[in-house]
Amino acid sequence: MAEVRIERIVKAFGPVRAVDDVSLTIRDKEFLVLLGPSGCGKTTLLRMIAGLEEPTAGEIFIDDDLVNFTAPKDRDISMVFQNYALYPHMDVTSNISLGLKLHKTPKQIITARLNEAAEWLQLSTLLKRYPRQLSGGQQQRVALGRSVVREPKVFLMDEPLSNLDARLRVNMRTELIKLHRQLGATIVYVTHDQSEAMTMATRVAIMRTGVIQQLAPPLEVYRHPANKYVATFMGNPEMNFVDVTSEKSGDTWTLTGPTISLPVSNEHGALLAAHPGNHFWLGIRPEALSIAAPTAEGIGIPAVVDVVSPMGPNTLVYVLVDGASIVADVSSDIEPAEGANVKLTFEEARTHLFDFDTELALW
Amino acid sequence: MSVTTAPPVVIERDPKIVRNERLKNAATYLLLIVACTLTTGPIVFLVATSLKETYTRTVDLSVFLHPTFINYHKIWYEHPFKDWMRNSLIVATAVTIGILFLDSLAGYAFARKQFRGKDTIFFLILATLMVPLPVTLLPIFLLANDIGWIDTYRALIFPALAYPVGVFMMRQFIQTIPGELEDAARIDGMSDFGIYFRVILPLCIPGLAVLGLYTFTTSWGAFLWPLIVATSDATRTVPPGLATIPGQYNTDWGLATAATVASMLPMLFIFLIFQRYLRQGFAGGRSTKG
Repeated sequence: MAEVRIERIVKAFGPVRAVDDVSLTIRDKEFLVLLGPSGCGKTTLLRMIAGLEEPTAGEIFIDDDLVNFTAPKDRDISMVFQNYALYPHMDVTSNISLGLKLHKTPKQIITARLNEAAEWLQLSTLLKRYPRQLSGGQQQRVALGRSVVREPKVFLMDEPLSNLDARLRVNMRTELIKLHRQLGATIVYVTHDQSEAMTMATRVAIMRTGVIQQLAPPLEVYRHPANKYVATFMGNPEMNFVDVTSEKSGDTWTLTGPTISLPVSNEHGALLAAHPGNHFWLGIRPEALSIAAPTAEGIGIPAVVDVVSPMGPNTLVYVLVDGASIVADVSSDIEPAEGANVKLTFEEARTHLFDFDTELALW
Repeated sequence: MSVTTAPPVVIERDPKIVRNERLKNAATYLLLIVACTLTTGPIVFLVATSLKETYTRTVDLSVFLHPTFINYHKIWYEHPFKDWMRNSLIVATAVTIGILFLDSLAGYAFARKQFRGKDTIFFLILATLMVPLPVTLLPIFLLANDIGWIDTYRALIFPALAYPVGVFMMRQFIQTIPGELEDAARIDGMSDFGIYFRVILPLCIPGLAVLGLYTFTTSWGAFLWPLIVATSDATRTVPPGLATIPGQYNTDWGLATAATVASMLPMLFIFLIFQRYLRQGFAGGRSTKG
């Protein structure tokens, strides 16, 4: 059982609040990803859990013990750093076992755990090497090994994959998912890469300027983003936005923009009726858009094809709508000519709507 | 599928360019030879003189074919040169170890720790560089006299431990060590001193080697202060000792040069041993990546 409870935590650097009144409970055996762009406070939050940074205000509990004033070594945590932070003057064995030695673990246990970790991470033949004699991926595995042998309550990981090349990064993702399953560990993982969050997380906390924007399982964040910021951050390519206003004619509500007129369902209409103000962002994910002939039936946005980028299994079609660029992620069977007139079609059920000013989601 | 191809074309370089490059090389070597002669000339002359029984003003390289070591024998057995060497070794070693310890600690604090007045204190330490030695000579002498340190090793060692350049050097060096290593060490369970001894110091070896060598050389060659406080052969170091060899009316140059050559030998050995680290240290980089 290892639960991390963060209550109203604040970290101020001078006038800047890097973490601004964040409350968060990381459940036992959870893989929680802190996701956000650089400078959003995610690493600071992680460093406060580790004890490397002292909170300005608020409380941190690990298993109901208040740890605000507990030294990092006594928190029963381990951390993997972005550039691995291996001791350059020690060989792999020493790097992995140093923490255990300093915690006065009996020798047999150290050897047993070292061998187990080395085997699992395929480091057995590299134990006498020094970090400078290892490739990036091998260094990464040593850093993981150092973390694993401690058998901590909580694993903290600060962008551990960002220094690896793309192929290795994808492999290591799978390894981390396995690690999580095998150890049944509680993991707090910091990244700016939404695909890492998507593939590995039990829950994702999306941060911006020191505040958590949304905390939910990754697919839920993807399907029901809480605000426009989250909608933009989750998903690649980014969600498209169209500036619209709502109108009611008879019983039906319609969203109208310069190039679009979209009647909405009764369910959504009720939400519009209950909402003050009528200015919105209509959000449509690239994969919710289809390309049709300009004369096609149904609701759609007339557009001109600008750039076509084939990706292999799918094709990204960048179109211009009234001067603004919109991207559609379509099957690679479709190969529209650049400069052609098309119609972007989509289902109303697959749209998102955000208040223009507060940017909070209506649906 | 087989394809027959002609051998790749060999392109000759323009003979004019080749000739020009050779000329340039020749000029470079000539310049280097002149510079080498200028720098090694005096040393050759020094060694040659020390190997002659009677002093002649000529540079006679044939002395290397039939050298005499009478001058070396004399300074070793008829002069207290042994004592000077011993004193120099004790003082220089103590000063070097002291400075390496103090300056690496201070450098670590200035590079990594946050404390009130850090920048002011660092500035003050650097500012002491601007005070010339003669200004502090008298007050330090009076102080040493008051506490009865005249003609002791303590008087030779302790004033030399205040070495702002060393603090500055170590601070710069430690700043290049990634902070994440310290974070990792802290999570592994090291104390501040543990981090200093087990992480920072081992990674500082090239920097420490440069600082140590520099300190040792400076201490070995120190003249003015030892001349003042080391009043007997019990504490006198080599440089003020050498100054006692010339007599009032005539100087035994053979003896003086032999003593000088002998005093240079320990430095030569140390350079040979540490030159590997020196190259790294002067290049300013650590040998540690990642």
